[in-house]
Amino acid sequence: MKKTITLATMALAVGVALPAPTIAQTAKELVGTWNNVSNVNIRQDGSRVDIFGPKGSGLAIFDASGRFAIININPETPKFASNNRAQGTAEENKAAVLGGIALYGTYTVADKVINFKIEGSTFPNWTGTEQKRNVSAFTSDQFTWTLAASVGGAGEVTWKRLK
Amino acid sequence: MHRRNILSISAIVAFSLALLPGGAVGQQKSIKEQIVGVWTLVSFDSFDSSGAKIPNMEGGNLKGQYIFADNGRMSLQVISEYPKLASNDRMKTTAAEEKAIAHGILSYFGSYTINEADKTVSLNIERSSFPNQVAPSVKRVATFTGDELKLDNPGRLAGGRTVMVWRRVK
Repeated sequence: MKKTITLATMALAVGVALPAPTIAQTAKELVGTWNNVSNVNIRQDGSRVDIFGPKGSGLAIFDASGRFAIININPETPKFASNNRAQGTAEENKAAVLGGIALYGTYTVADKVINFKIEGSTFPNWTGTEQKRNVSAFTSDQFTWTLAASVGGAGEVTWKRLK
Repeated sequence: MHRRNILSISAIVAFSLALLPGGAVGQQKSIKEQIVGVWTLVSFDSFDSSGAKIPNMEGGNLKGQYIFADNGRMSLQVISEYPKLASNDRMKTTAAEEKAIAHGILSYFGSYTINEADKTVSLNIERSSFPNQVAPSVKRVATFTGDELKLDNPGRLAGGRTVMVWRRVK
């Protein structure tokens, strides 16, 4: 009897000592700043395309108050010859617009799903919408979400935690 | 008796300190302590080198958010109101839509450091929706008034200055 109790106590102690599973169940697990690892469009034929180029870059901030900001930018977007944001040529405007996206608003997390309430996006069709991202892989240092991409097909976006 | 008086005075001083309004303590906060958090856009104005106000964002109804994370990262979005894309596809844009977006957004991210002595924020803009803005060290003069933060950029790329005012999101 005494031995059983001891084993039970040990099991309990071990159980308590086990690290909490990291499965993106709460917003708290996302809080922090994240560097974009990849932002891929998976086409219907299975081919993979880097949406913001092979050197695509990005930053996601998930604030503890429930607000977020996400930017992805293709660093190969050419500078404007005029050095003036309002005086880009048609080609410069096109490259800058297609080469980046930004969005901000509030977020919640439940059951491996991030729910964004997008208050503003450079892609205007997303402004004022509510969108879900399915977290397909999650550790405390890196996670991936999937979505129906803004460019058709499926999107797969991976983030790595910045210290 | 003498000792007792000193104790009483100490107690009164301690009590008085505790009664000091929060504002007095707030004034002692560093720029870093004050800037960390989430900010919503109040105004964004540009001025030419003569000081005359000039248009900077087309589309109207300008909105934005600025986050300064405590680990030294930052992310800014300023977005005006322009029409949704007819295609509903981010990569299928007309020339008119591209122009409207290019003239109606400003978004960048990177890191920041604070110079407490001269009350400036130094931005390392790693990527921007306006690619010319990428630069390792650009200065903004920070002024805090109540819930508001004014960021003054005296080195506007096209000449003159820009002034952004932000309000802390609760």
